[in-house]
Amino acid sequence: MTTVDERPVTAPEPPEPELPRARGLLAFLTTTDHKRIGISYMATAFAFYLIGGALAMVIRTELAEPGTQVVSQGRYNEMFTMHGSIMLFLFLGPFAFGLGNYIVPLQVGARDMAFPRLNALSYWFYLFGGITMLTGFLTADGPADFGWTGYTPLSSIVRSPNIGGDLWLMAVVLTGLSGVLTAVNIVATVVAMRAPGMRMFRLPIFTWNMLVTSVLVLIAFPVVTSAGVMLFADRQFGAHIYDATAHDGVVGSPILWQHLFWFFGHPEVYILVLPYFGIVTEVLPVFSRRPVFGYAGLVFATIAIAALSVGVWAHHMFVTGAVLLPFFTGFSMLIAVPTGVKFFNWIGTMWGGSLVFPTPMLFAVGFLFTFLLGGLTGVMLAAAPIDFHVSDSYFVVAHMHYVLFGGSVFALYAGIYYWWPKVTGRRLDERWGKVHFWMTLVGFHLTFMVQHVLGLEGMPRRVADYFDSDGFTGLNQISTVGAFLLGASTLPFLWNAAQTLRGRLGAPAGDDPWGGHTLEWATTSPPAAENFEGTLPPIRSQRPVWDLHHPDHTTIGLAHGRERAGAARRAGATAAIGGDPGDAGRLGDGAGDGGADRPPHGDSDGDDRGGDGS
Amino acid sequence: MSERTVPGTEGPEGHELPAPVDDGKVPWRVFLVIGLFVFAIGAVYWATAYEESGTVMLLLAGALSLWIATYLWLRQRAATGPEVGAARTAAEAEAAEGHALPGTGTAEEGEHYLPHASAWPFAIGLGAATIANGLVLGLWVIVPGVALLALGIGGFVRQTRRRD
Repeated sequence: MTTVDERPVTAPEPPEPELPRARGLLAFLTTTDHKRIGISYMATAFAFYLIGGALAMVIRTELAEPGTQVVSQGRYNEMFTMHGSIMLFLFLGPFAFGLGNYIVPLQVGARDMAFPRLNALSYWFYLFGGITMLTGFLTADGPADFGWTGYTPLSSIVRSPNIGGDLWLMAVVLTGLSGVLTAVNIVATVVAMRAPGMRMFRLPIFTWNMLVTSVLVLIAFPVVTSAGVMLFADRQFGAHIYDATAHDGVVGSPILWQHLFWFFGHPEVYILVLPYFGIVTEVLPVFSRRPVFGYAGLVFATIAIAALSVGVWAHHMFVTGAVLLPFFTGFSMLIAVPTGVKFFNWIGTMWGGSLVFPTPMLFAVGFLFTFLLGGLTGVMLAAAPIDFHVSDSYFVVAHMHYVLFGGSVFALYAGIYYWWPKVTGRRLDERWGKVHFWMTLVGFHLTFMVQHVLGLEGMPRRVADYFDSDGFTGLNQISTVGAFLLGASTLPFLWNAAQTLRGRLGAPAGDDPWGGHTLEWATTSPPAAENFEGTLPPIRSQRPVWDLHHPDHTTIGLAHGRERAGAARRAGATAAIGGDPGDAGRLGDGAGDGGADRPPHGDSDGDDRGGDGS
Repeated sequence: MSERTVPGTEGPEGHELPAPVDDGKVPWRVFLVIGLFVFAIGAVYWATAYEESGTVMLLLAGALSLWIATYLWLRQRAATGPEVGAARTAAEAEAAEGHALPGTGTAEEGEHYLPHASAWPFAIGLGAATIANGLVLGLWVIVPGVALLALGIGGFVRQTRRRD
């Protein structure tokens, strides 16, 4: 006999008790508010960034002279392993997720993420995973020292018996789980939580990129999580999955780890870079005083990059001799096409715009320049003959730093300066911001430009030492000087951030300090607990807030519901849509009035023709 | 220009906009395109590389994308009945006037339940991390880890039921 739940199905809801809002540590531990979680994510990730950066300083100091002065060879292995692991697993990805956490619900006009408590859970998995990885430093044998790629058989229990390796694996599993949960949350938020009127093709590009990034996370992260569990089983429970020696006639495969790792690892690179493309695509149109050029082209390019990235993993494995070279060379080079479309659209956005250069825009333009170089060396490395020559040399180190620092971190700083007023209510100080930018740009190129040459001259990566007779000393010293300048460039930023938070620097920002386009600028700074108090602006285009602030310019556009490519081209009468004289002087520098003089036709062309541009 | 008259596409003679993309189809099409493309790569890879692990991973990745695409497609089909469509049109019209209050804009959104602050995610995270560290540091650490995890999951589930 089954018991029947006799409670009435539609019991009247008791009136909600007014709970006192938690404060301080308790609020941090129990919050389910996407804004607080987003801030926690970003602050934690930035703390890890500082730790990883400190390790980089140790590495560069060691390499400044022939001989080992600062750390022994073994310690050096730990330094570069933890540097790479922290930056890739604990900094760039989680920072993007944190930013997405904060911005995506605001941009789609939702009150919160789709699953707020799941959101909190993924933060805790991330934080504890990160701490687990770092506790390797507290163990007797030190943290993991087999490189951030953890290649077998080097990472097997025989060759890396230290406990730090196991902690590293557990951290990869925990942060991987965190990433999957966040991705599910972002997909659900974008699919199901959009405000009325916020169609998919009106979503801001940052939100689009977070959606596509989340799809990639769902494809890639389970692979590395399971690969990590299998390696852990090899190390601790006597499995032989990656073991090349035969046991009862069964042979494992060390190369399997590389396949699994890079099937995660290459999409991971795009996971680390697509959200930052999104930031740049938000920043460029706002400070060019133009709508984004080629909206649909950018969306399809993002999807194309994501789809292609699944088929290129083994270009990291050319020198194993065990992969099909033409297949991976071809697909890797194909990725240059959608990336080129993105560059075309970014330049098209700025072309003929009324550019202003506050700090976010500086970083965005610095991104364009630096990431282009990283992309071009990427095409070189995709060619197997070149890769055979420079694989595992400093050329590869330079390439990946141009992509992941020059691409992601520059855009990350652009995002910080751009959204800081929304998060805190105050703008960061412009003068310190410019100091920060120029130190970062000069320091970065000084550090990594010469590493291309070092790599071509034959300096291998992941070595603590080189001979005087190798002739690497001069370039390494330049690189070290640059690295210290780059490290020091964080100080003006930290000073700026601290002083702005205390109200001693910067300026109070209104709701919309930059003349923004997207919904987050419609609410207060910082946003209220429920995100939007009162009404949302009507959403009839890709830039609802801009429409709200420029009612005269959108009347014709309104009648047309201007959604689709080609409309503005056909209707010369709608030409005034894109012109943007009203923003002149919003930043107080009067540079914004070029829009009034331009022939309006060309402008609306740029506005709506993106689908054709690709 | 177009034969059909779709609200929002009226314009001067000869300058009407084409009908907008059917919005509900976009999310599942994104997943469908990626899934089909990954399957295509998988087929090419299998035919040229004769390598098992990559083929399996590509097939699984494609299957994952199509799985999500199918779910979203079914959900969209279920959500396009006439009355739902009317409600959405009304909500969009209201939004076009700028009166949509977040959370009260549509019937669906009004029912969306946002939980209060919760300590259970922290407990689950700490429990899972304790178990993971216990596997490395000493099996006895797993015992409090499992207890914490069970407590956390129990609290998490019960909090959702009560909806307070």
